[in-house]
Amino acid sequence: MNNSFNSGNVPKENTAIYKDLRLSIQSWVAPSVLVITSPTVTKLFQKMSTTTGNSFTDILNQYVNDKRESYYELNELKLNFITLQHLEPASFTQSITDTSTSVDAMATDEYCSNFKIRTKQDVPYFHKVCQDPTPWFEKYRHHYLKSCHSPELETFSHPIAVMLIVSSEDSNPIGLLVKMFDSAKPPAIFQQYNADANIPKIYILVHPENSEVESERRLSEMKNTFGATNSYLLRISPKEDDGGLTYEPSTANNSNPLYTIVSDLTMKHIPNFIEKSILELNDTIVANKKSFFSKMKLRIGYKKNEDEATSAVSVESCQRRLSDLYFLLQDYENALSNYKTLLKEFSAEKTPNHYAATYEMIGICNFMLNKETESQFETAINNYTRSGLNAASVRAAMIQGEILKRKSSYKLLADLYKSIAEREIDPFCAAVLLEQAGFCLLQYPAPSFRKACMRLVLAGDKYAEASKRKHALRCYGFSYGVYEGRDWNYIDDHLHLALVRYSFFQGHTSDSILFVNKLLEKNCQSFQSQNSIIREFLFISKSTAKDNYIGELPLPLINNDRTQVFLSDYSTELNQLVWQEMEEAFKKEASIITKPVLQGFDLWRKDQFQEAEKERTIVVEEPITVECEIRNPLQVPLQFNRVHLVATFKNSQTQEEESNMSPLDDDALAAMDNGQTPFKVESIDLLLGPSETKKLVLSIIPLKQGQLIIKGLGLCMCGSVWGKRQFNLKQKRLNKTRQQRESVVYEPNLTLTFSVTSPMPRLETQFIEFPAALSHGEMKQAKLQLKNCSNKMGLKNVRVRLSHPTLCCFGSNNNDASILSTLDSSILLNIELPPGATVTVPLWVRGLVVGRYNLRCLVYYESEAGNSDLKYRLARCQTDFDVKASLRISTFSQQSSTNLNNYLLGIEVDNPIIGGGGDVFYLKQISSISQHWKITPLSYKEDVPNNSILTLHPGQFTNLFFGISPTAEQQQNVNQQQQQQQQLAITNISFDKNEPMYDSSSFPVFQFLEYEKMSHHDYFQGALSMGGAAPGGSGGHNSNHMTASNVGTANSNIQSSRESLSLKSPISSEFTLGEHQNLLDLMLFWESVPSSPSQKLVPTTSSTTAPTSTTLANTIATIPSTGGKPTPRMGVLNATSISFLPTHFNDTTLATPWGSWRNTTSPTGKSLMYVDPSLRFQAPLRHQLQSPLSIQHDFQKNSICTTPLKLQLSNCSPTHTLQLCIDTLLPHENLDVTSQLTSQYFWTGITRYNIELAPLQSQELPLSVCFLRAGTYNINRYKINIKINNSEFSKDIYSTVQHLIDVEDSE
Amino acid sequence: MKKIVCVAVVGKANDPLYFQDFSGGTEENRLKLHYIVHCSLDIIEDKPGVKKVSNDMYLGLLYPTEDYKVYGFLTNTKIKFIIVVLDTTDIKDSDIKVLHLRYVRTASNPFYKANKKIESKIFQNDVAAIVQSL
Repeated sequence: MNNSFNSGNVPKENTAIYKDLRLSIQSWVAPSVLVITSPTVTKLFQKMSTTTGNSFTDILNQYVNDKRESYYELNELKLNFITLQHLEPASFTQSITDTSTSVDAMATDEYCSNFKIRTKQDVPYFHKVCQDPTPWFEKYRHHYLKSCHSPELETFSHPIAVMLIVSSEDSNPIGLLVKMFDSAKPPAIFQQYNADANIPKIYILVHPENSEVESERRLSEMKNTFGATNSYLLRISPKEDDGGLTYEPSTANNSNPLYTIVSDLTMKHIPNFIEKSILELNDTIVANKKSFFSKMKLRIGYKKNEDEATSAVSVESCQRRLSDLYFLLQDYENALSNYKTLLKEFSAEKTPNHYAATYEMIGICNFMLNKETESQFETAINNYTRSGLNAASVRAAMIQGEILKRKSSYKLLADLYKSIAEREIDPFCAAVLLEQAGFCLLQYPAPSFRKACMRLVLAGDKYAEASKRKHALRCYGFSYGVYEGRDWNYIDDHLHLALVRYSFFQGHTSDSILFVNKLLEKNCQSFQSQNSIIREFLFISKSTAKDNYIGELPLPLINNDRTQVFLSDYSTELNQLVWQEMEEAFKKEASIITKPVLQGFDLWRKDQFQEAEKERTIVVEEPITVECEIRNPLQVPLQFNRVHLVATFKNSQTQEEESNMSPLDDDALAAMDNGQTPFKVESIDLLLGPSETKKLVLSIIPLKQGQLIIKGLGLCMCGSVWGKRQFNLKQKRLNKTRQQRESVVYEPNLTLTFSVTSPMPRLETQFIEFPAALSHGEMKQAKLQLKNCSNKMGLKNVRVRLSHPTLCCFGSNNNDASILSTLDSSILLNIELPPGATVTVPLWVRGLVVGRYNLRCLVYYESEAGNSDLKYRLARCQTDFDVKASLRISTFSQQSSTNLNNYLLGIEVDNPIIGGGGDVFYLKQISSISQHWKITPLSYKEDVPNNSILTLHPGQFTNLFFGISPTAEQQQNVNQQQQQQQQLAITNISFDKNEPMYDSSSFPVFQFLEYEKMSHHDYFQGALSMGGAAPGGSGGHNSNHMTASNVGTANSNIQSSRESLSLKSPISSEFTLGEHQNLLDLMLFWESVPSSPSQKLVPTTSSTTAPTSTTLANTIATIPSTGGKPTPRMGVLNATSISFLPTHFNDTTLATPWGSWRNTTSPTGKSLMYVDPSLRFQAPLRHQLQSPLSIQHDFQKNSICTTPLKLQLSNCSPTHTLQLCIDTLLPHENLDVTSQLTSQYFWTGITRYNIELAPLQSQELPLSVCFLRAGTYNINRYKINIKINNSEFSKDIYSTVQHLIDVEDSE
Repeated sequence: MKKIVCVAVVGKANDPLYFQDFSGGTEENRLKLHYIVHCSLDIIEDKPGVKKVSNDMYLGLLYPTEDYKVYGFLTNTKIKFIIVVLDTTDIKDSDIKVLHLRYVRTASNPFYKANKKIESKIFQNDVAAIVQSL
């Protein structure tokens, strides 16, 4: 049929009706025509209405709406065709509800797409883009006005005519027509509302189209009975859906039977009736107005004779009816004056409803006449409210609202709508009004957008109450912008909950889940509400999720900072940083890093050479362990089943991606067990109590080669919904290039990205038999166990790095020792491990510095088969031990006065009470190692006189003195070719002749000495750069030359240089350059029995061999055989780099000034020096007078005794040239006067020399002294002026050592 | 029934720093108070800019609702103090200044981060004491 009449779609041109309130009022205030149909006709039209949806009254209304005919000065006379049902009070609420559905089609999802008000500044823009956010309001108002009637107060709904329709199929149509409406006995509803029943009647017979003769006969019959003007015949064609009654403007009007009926009605019947009624009513009013008395009588009479209501109508209702009729005829002036007259009859106190209704009509009349309405509507609304007529007050408010809107008084309008909406009215109506109130608030010059949003939220609540979900969601969604992210917890919760529900109901599942997440993010709800939220969430997710998997879950919270990844190479270790340095060093060693060396201008663009961080390489079939912390933020316990790691796997060849972002149900588990997945995960079940935090350790095993990215946790929430929680690790913000600076770019965090490579061997390492405690200097043996855990692959190229490289020596003897060459290099162990093999590497530990140690060992190894992705792997192990204090050594050196090239060495050994272990120590042996020097005991000659000086109880000191003298071959045989080789003189002095000596040049004693020196390397580094480049003065580097002299007592074994030949100093050549001749290393060997100090220590040696010097390794190895007794301990204290030559302060290689004490074995490892400030300037010069000690001279014969002397001068510095000026001094010169008398000698011959001494050069100067008489003379009277390297600065030196000559008179 | 129904401190960015409901009402009522306090921000914003005489920060009655009256106080650092009282009573500016003083004391704590939620127990007790005393 014709589209324009499908009731659902509102034709566009009709919206104009809704916009104009005037038209709405006119369509509301229109004459009502009552339509009464016989049951047959009702059935007939019902049948038709099921197909078109139009009831008969609808069809009739169509005829009315489009009338263009002007009549009786009316703009457009409309008729409202109603049925009896319309007059029932119950129908009113129904029609209100119908009205709300009529605007459903206009409901929108958003007021304005993709726009939300967040701040005040958004409001003007909103007005710009969205001028009419609520287009349905006017339509709703139109329908509301039309359907809202109160027949007891107003007469607009009282029928003005009645249409009686029967069908020819009824048994007695005429009789039925008579019975259907009897003016004398009208339906009860007429009496109830005091309506006039004497209204024109129109009789219609419905007849089928086909039998024309029959119908004409019936019509004439009707005309006879009811009169010709009142009888009509309606022919219908049963074939057509609506019986051919539908109004079609295009066709000729006459052709349709209804046209005639309706136009007769509007042209003849109704005008006639209205005219008659107005006359009658005027008469009645005038008659009743004559006296006050009659008025009263009438009223009383009305009350008394309620049965005769039709005849005894009150004057008020007559007046009202009259006014309404004028209004119907759109004669607003007359109506207004009548209403005003009527108003006088009512009072606000007694009859507020009538009072209000009249006031409303006055207001409407004024509005229609474009006059000021003043406060008429307010009065009407207030009185309606007082009398409980809320629906009517809404109507008045709507009209008032329009008036206020025209005046742009939005503030009043907003308040009006809001106050009306808060009454007890239809929720949909309240919602519409609140929504209007909200938008009115936005219209202020200074918009109260927060208040507006609050109104919208309330509107949303009301819409929800009226179950208009689309409207509700729109309201909530719009106002959410104002509150979002501002911490208004209660409001947020309220909105979130609403948004969750209505998004879900509207099918916006993703939004719904988003809001659930937000809802649960903030934990400020009560226990109960959280419980229901969770349940709602589960329900929503379950009913919407595809394959029971919803993707990202809102819970639990993951503490991303605490997420850690452990590979199988590593044990659980918290301080990764400690290992990192060693790992980096291995990386460098394996030349994995190929960082370009940048120079010059490239430095400016060094950012471009930045090496991109790579993902870690892991080995297939080895588990990755992820430790993470999850938290339940809620106050309700949450159950999570099968928590596992979620990962994606990318096959490197096929580029196919697989992931396990799907429920890990039993099928998935089975598939995983069968190896159908590229990786395997383990799962755990857990229950998180309220606010509980739990640490999870989960593992994943890659089964194929490719790229594996761990994404997060997969879990089943509360046993019903599967989903995941993604890890969100911290990413570095990139800020290097301009592009990065201009935008926000993050570096990808590759912690959870792995490239899976082919199988590799896996090494496990462990320290065994490692001592828990050591004394300072003590040496003990331990082992490092290496186990290849792989049963397929062998491994090779094992290297070791230690956190304290100087504490351990790998190996058991000189031949298999693995020695460190520099402190930052690694130790190569010559080991290859076949699959499954275990190897134990012996090693020595020495307590170097007192303290507590955590010795970490990082082992590097490569696969035998080789692997291009993963060149090497690392294994870790660690152990803790203590180093306790033992002995302390201080050394002291001084020039010998007897020999220019000899020096004194004092050693003070101290067993401290404070800081010491309380043990008794026995000194066993002292050894010196130097290139050029040897030591000889001075404290005793043959044997140690008293053993007690070698036994140190706590708190005891002992002093030992030695002489330092050059080895025989010093300064000989400079062999340039073998300069690299070391020439070391080793002196071993044993304190106990009965015991074998320790070999101080063998493993590991010597290595530890070297290590200790290396640990002081940094200390020397600076010196190297200054003085190290002058090797010229150093003695001959005779290759492999090693003099070892054992100044033991009984058997002074001259050690052959057999082992020493192979003994290479591991110290780099660079360092040996710094080896100065002025250096001596001392080793003091001690033994101790820890718990029983009284026990005599008897180190047993192997009896088969002659008591030769044994290596330490052998000695110690045999000690445990004593069995039962506490293991004796031994240790070596090294006093390294003792310098003793007089030195120049500038000569930093010889930093220690001569003649000072040095605490060489401080337990803290620091060298303490006590420097006499007067010794700051020292010249590297030794000088000595050589003369006979006594002279026989005959003074009688020759009164002058002239004696030749020699002044020996030696430049000790290997680098500096000395300019010397030697002056002899008179005995009294620079001395006091009295001494002149006693010193009777003077110098003869050359008394001044100017010489230059090259580095390490010695010279003898001849001097002559004259004595005049016998006596003992101190002839140390000379002055040496020294300049170093021809510098400006010079200094005078005087001899401080007496040189006495005894001159005897040999008379 | 106490006079003061609710005390709120709202930060510079219009986020609640402190909110305490003294009405002892239902959750629904508390929600309503949240809305009331939130809406009062509209009015505070509309008040003619920062006053020239900066020592008077009291804004007076912001607006009356059906059951309540809302009073405001705006500091120079845009911290808002909003007090909701029962319709039948009113408060003096000195009352709200006491509250401001307490806030200043709390904010002076070096551990308090400016424009963050006030979690100080002392402040809570102080506010409760003020409410009791009125």
